[in-house]
Amino acid sequence: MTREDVLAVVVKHLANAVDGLDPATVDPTRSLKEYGANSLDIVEVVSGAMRELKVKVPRAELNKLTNIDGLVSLLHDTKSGAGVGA
Amino acid sequence: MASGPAPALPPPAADAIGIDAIGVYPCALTLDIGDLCAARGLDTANVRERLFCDERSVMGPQEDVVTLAVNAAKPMLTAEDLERVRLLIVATESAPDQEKPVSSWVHHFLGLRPDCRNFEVKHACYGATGAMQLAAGWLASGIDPDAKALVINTDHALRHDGGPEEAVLGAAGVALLLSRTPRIAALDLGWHGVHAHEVADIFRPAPGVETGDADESLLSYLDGVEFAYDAYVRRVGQPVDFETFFAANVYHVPFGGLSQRAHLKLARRELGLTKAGAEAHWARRSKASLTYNRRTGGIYGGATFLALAGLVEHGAIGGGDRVGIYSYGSGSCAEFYSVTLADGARDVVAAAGIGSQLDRRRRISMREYDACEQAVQAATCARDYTPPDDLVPGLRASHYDGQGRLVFRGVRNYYREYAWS
Repeated sequence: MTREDVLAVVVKHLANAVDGLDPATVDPTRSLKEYGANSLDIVEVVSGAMRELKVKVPRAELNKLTNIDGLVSLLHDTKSGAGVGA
Repeated sequence: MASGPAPALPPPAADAIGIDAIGVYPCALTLDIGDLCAARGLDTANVRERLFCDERSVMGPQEDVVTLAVNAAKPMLTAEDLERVRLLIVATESAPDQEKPVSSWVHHFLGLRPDCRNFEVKHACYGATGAMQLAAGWLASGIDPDAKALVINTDHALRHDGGPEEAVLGAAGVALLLSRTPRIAALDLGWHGVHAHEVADIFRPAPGVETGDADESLLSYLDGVEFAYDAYVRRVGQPVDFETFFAANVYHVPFGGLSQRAHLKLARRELGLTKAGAEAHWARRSKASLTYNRRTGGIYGGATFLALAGLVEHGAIGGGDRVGIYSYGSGSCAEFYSVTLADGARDVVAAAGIGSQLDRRRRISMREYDACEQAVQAATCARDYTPPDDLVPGLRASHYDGQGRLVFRGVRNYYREYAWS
């Protein structure tokens, strides 16, 4: 699975959580919060993506993230076996 | 795994069985969630406005799950009820004993008949719902036509460690009297959908320990509402229009924000609403159910019924209206079922005085809160323990003396002691 595939999964879950979001316009350098996701939305987006990707990342690692790029990298690295808590 | 559709059933029978009365004991103490968030560095606005938690009910030093259960049920029961209750089930995940059931103390202190069957059940937050359904089935059997059943959920949180869950948890006892003449809500017997799924989301692997993965639990809860609803629709056996079939909806309340999410999930899927549209739908159909829960914090299995009480008393619904109810317990078991409200249901719920009981709790400081929660830990598994009488000055006089409440007097050589105040 490529990094782009992981990004597509994250964006799909974000679009489900936020009204009126055009997936094509998502800028990965921005945060989920900047797209209007609140704390529960973020849990749903991140957990939903992890479930779909069949990976599990400790909450402590997730708390360090600042933007979508960081999340995608963490999920992708974990999926590839390079990250933590596969 | 068998997953075929269940056979279609006829509409619920005219013979009503359901909730005849409700009693709630929301503890002696309350902590303002703003005080907790300030002390723990949590976002107060998020907890109040997104998670829908304003206060946390806290047990006084002379309270435990037995006193919560008894003090919830006692004011609700008439002399006639005491004669007719032949089944008592107490649901809890906070039991102080691994063999002796909480129900044995509750049976004794409520003065129930010696021939009243009693036992304790556990299935996280689902236990009370499962117990209610079994009790309703027993009543429906007609084996004991004059009997009533009493189902009580009693629990307290174990999280007071600064984690994010601390702000959404609480403690309370909730008692349901079930009968064949239900004055609050008749169960739509046979109309229920269950979805059981093994998961270790939230659990208590040792006395005094509550742990797990809150995010996992959130997803399991949200999966459950869809699976259980689909199973419910199959059982009903006729088209179910989410908009018109239910006048209102109640969802188990670990915290209000998750209850809201469950409604958004179904409303978006069934009605094709946007998120904003579903939120407006929730405000009309379900928000009133959080009236009391947001003042207690998560009270485990009793939360679903406290939410029903809030909805009946404060929602725009009345006799003859159908309410869809979703229950979820970690571990896990989910159930979606429905009830039809009785005429006069609001008055019966109002008689329980839930709002005034919440108002009567003593607001405590963070220092007092920490001390009270430490006292709960100190009592856990203790061979000898005496509840401190000075953690909240004047509490005994203001809340117990002469008020006929059951109080926890401590533990002597593992024997628990109780007395009437």
